[in-house]
Amino acid sequence: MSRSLSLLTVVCALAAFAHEGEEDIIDAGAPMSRETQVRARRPAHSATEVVVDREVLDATPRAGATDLLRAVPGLVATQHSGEGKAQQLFLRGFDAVHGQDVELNVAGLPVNQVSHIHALGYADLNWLIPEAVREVRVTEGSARAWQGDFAVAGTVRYELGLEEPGVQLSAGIGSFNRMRLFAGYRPEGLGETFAAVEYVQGDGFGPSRAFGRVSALGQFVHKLGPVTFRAVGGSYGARFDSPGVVRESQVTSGALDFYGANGRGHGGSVSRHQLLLSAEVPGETGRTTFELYGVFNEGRLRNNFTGALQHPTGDGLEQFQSSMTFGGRALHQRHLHVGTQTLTLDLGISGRGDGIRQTQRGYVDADGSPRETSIDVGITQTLGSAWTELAWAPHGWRFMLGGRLDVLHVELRDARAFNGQGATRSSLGPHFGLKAGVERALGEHFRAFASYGDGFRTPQARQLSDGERAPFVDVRGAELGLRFDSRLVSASAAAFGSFVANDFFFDHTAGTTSFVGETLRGGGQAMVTARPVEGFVVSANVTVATARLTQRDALLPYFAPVVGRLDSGWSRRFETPWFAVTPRLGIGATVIGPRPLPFNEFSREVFLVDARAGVRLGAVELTFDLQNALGAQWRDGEYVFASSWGTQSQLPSRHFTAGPPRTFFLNLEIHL
Amino acid sequence: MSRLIVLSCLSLLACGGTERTRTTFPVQVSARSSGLVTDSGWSVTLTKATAHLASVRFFSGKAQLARATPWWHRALISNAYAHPGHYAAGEALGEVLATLDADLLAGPTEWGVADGVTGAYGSLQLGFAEGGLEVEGTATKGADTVAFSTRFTPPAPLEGAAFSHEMTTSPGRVDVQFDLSVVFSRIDFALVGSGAKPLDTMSPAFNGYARGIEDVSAYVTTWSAQ
Repeated sequence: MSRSLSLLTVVCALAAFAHEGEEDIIDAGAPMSRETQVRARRPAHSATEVVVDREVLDATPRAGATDLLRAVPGLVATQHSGEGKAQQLFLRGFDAVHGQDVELNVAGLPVNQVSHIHALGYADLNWLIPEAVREVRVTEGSARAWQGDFAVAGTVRYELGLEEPGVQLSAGIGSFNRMRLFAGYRPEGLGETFAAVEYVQGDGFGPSRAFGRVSALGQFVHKLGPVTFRAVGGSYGARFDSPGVVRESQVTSGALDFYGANGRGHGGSVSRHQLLLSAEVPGETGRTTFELYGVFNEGRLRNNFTGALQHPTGDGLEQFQSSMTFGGRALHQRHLHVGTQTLTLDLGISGRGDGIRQTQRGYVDADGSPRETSIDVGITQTLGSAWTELAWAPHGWRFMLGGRLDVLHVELRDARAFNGQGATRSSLGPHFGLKAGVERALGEHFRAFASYGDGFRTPQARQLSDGERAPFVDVRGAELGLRFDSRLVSASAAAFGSFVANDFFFDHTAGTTSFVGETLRGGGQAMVTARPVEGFVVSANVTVATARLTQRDALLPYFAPVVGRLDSGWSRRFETPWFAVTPRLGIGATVIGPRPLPFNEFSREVFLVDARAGVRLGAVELTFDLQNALGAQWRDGEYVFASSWGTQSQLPSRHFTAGPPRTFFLNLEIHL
Repeated sequence: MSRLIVLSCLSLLACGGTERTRTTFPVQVSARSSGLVTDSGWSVTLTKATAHLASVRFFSGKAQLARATPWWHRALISNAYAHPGHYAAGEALGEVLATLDADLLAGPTEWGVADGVTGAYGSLQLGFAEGGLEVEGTATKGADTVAFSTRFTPPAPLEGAAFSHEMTTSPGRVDVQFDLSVVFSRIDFALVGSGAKPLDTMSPAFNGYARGIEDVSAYVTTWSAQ
């Protein structure tokens, strides 16, 4: 039924695409001035569509991608294999592993990598420069038609831009020999045009944690007549060591330090190069945006989570992937007049192609020499999509009906099939998704929402057989919410639920996927952002969630049942006869409740406090960041599986990756 | 206070648990040692039978020979004994990692309490310590009597012995019974080489003894609910 409805909606919308429309680009039922159409913030259409702006982002320390991800309400990001590997994400009851349930996008550039050798939807954000993030747009759930592949628990989009015009140079040092150099430039009068580069290196807070990375990122925005052109480009390279996991019994017996490491030679190397070109064309009948992008990703990971459980010489796995992604997107928005009523139509069409080369082989722990190759494939993965939303907003109501069609084609060349003779297989399949929402304005400040959306994730190409109809993982999500917006305070509360018909569980230690059947997730979320006095901002959110295997009435392991985050900061400019003085103070807190683990166990709760203090005198700014200010000895990730680290036992046992201890970072910044 | 709030929320959200759980259960070793007659017709009387054991592990993988077939079935179709490689141990579900010198003639011997997890058990792996299975006794066939003693230690843990059981947290006991009739079945005491006490390790009789110990059908493992 939902497939038919969504298909019908797509067809109707495509027919309407050719219809004469009005010129105004205003979202139905929501105020939006013509002057601000380029940068105006789109009104939220659910209680959990939020924008985290720079004022909140700057309130507390943001050392890198992990901290940028923690700006997303309800999201837990853990870094279990060194500063360079994609974070493991948990959101709304989903263990998104490295990105399979959270769609990540930076200024139009997709971050999730399809059919990745290490984990589906692998989303490495370590190339993102914190100063270059203008705002974070979060759309939790899957109720919007433009949400694409991996938008199961939600979509996070980072918009780019430097805060102030001119040259910005900074150098910083911190705990464990962390050193960072940054240079950025934003020209006057060119909107969000900027160029920035950062170099970061450090020894890490324990053995096997050294890392280094360089990232360059730029955006060019130019208006030529009515058309706004935008280009985003960047290059990134990183090398990092990984401490792997530590068995809990190794620490309790004193055999290993809490911040110790098992094995050696773990880590990886990654690079990413990207370019996006876009043009926004206001027309007589509507506004159209065209985007073209290309992304090159390459990465090598070496992991050994289990010691020598499977092989006497060690269970190390070396994974390599190189991929080239090309894609294009066209977005069109217009108004339609039907009788006396005005409808808003959003249309989108996109195509994405990924050429992937990936291998996996074991290696001997002692000297790193290779063992047998277990995966050696080439993949060409193509996804074509079309979506639409049609909205009608009569008398304080807003009704939205939308749909989305995605067709996946996969061609795979498996060099190891048939005892190394090789084989090819291909697969194709569509996914239809229905989107619907109802809003009701309740007085001047309140709005109530109800929404439904089918989200999806594409499958791992290696698991498809020849001629198989590509099986998407389909999630049906619903949400009820209430929102309050005033000049000083924005607040919202929502209840959400998601049903997945054929969910799967990824086993990190073996790199395998297990299908677990029907799963149901539900929970609630509350957020508030307030600016009660000039220069002060406080943003707080709490999310509770549960995730169950419905057929066996059991909890799914690893999801985060309780997540809370507080960011508060104060910064105000004072003029003196000689120069301006801008002090800055900030404090942040993160609470993560115990997560369920296999065998009825729970992880430990996490409570972290970060603090920031700084002062800017004229063009010079000094900032002191303290992360984990209370010095908590905390476990970033906790897992239960069998390993041979320091034991003869082969039973599943508790392992963990240590979170960073108290760290400081002192940064000197000059604005020219 | 914060811990109290978090735990209160959890009590509402996380009731039910993550399906499986940890469990413990006692393991004992026993033997069937009376009425031993080899395939070549020797009646064996043991005066000593000591198993030097190092570990027992329980796995999810099904055994190489999961169940005995009825006699009439064997008469028509021979059992196919899978060679190593067809058995996949799967996930380790329980284990006792303690050495034990079990006097098999003295009745059941407590090995220890196994740490384990709930789930479908399919097989076990038996690890012998130095000394392996040490036996002493006499074998009689007609007017011939042979006094013997020998020991054999399998070079690697024996994999794939059958133990099919859905393990829960219900109390019970695992009994690993050495079926010595299987251990001795292949021995022909007429072929003891240079001597029977101790048994010539190059002799066909010793070879039959070693093969008998490595035959995982010699270990009959059962669960007794309590």
